[in-house]
Amino acid sequence: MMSEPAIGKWVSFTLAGEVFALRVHDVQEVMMAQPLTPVPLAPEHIVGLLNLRGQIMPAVDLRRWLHFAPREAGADSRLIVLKTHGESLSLVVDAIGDVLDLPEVDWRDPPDTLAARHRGSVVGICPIEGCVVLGLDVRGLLGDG
Amino acid sequence: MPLTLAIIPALLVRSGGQRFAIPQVNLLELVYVDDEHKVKAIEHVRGAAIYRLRGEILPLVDLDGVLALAGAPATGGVNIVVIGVGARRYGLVVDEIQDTEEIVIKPLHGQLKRLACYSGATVLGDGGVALILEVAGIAALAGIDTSTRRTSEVAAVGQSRESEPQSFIVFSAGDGGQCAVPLAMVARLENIATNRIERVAGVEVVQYRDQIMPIVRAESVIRLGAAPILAEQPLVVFDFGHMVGLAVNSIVDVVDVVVDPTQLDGKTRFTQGRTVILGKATLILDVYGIIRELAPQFVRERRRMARRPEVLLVDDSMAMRAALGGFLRSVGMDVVDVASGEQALTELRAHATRFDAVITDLEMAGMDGFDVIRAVEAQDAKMPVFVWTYREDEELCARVRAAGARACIHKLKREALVEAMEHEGIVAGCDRSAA
Repeated sequence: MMSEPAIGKWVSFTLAGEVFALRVHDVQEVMMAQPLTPVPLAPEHIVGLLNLRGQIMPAVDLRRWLHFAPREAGADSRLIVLKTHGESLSLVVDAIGDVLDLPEVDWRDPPDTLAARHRGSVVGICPIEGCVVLGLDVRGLLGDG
Repeated sequence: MPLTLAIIPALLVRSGGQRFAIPQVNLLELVYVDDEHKVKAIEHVRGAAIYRLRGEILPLVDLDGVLALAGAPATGGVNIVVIGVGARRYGLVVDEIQDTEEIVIKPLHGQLKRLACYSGATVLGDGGVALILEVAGIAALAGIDTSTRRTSEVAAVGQSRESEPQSFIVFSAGDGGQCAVPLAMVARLENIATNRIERVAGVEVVQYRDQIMPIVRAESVIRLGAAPILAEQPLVVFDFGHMVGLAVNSIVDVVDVVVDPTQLDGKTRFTQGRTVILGKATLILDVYGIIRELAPQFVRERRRMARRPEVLLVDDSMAMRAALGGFLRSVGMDVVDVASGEQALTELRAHATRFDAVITDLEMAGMDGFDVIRAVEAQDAKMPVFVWTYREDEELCARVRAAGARACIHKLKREALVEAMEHEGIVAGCDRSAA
């Protein structure tokens, strides 16, 4: 595997007070909450369709995907548009944090106590000052829905 | 700029506070039942709502109900969108009927593909997003069986389908003789006031949907006896590039029957032959022959090749099949469309030498495009297969070609598809001026 310059760079965000991160090269852009068109009968984690400059993509609420408590009505949220090779996808999260430098050596395997549902998408955990970052793999998120 | 094939006219409706697009190709008519009449007009048979549309019983499907939308309580009138899917019709009840708009079909993400009730989504003029309803999927959610497949090409009728039942519309004509035509050929049924019929250059015509529609009477070429004069003339309307109405006395029924063309007797220039339907001797009319004889100027001249190329189109989206099928027909091909790889195989096995090419979508439930390529090759190694897909992925296209497809074409480039078929000699000499 060739090492990429950005491999240690992660975008952090929060969900119900917990800190998660995605690799910078998996993220196309980050934006304010947008109006979404609901898709009746869709899986519960797909909260609607987003029109991003004429491109239509589903928005997956990560709280629902990861079985967190639902966001309170009226609570603010942010959208992360993923950079994918095929179909586009966006994620709804609570808030965006920083771009963090988290070198490969600092990452640890996720503990066995993580629910199986999370294990497919959580690639590792990385302790930083004050908290632990859960690193997510978009391929795990895009897989079987 | 070639028009992209994925642009289709659609009706926008609103239900549960949300907009949906219904492809125009599925629309038959719009019915509004006002508040005063709705209690009487909408009947309930063991819990299922029905509406009587000119004597035909139309099952009603509530869009709020099937999509589990938070529907507004039913106040005011009822908007019914009459939908035709295959040989079946149903009435889709929506909160509000809005405008028609030319929409661009955008495919849904893979995670939503299993929702058979949508064929895609579109961005509306105001920037909002509307889901495009797949009317067969909606019918399935409501428990209406629409599996009766529809082929819409004249030449196909009566020559194939040896064992499959075919839907026929049965009617009486002339002095009461019973006749039938395959329902798949019929565009609409109409009742028009007889005094609206005019005569132009020896042909009866009626002004219909901004067209001058000729009316032909089967009894003028077949010995059926003179038809009675009716105050209201029922018409079976066909669309051969131009609408043509066949005058009938009354519509009897729509029935599914197995007709073996080799067993029909009495085939003439204007009939496929005679068979027994609903206990009565019934003439199966060759409508194309009748119209060509009686109103030749209204039949678009078929291409002067020994035979039109015939392609089998495989796509799980009815809207896409309608859009591409219409285009391919307009450039001189006959098209049989099916909704799955499995159906395509059945069709190919039943008619081994009928098709000149197969066009298949890539991403489908069950057999996908790769499975179709392999299965077609196993069946007939010489049969050219073309893949059309929304995926813009060179590596994928290379795999598609390596699997044996002649070409991998983006769904927005239907001209390129026809060019690829010309390149393979399938549509050589095809008259494209009609497009």
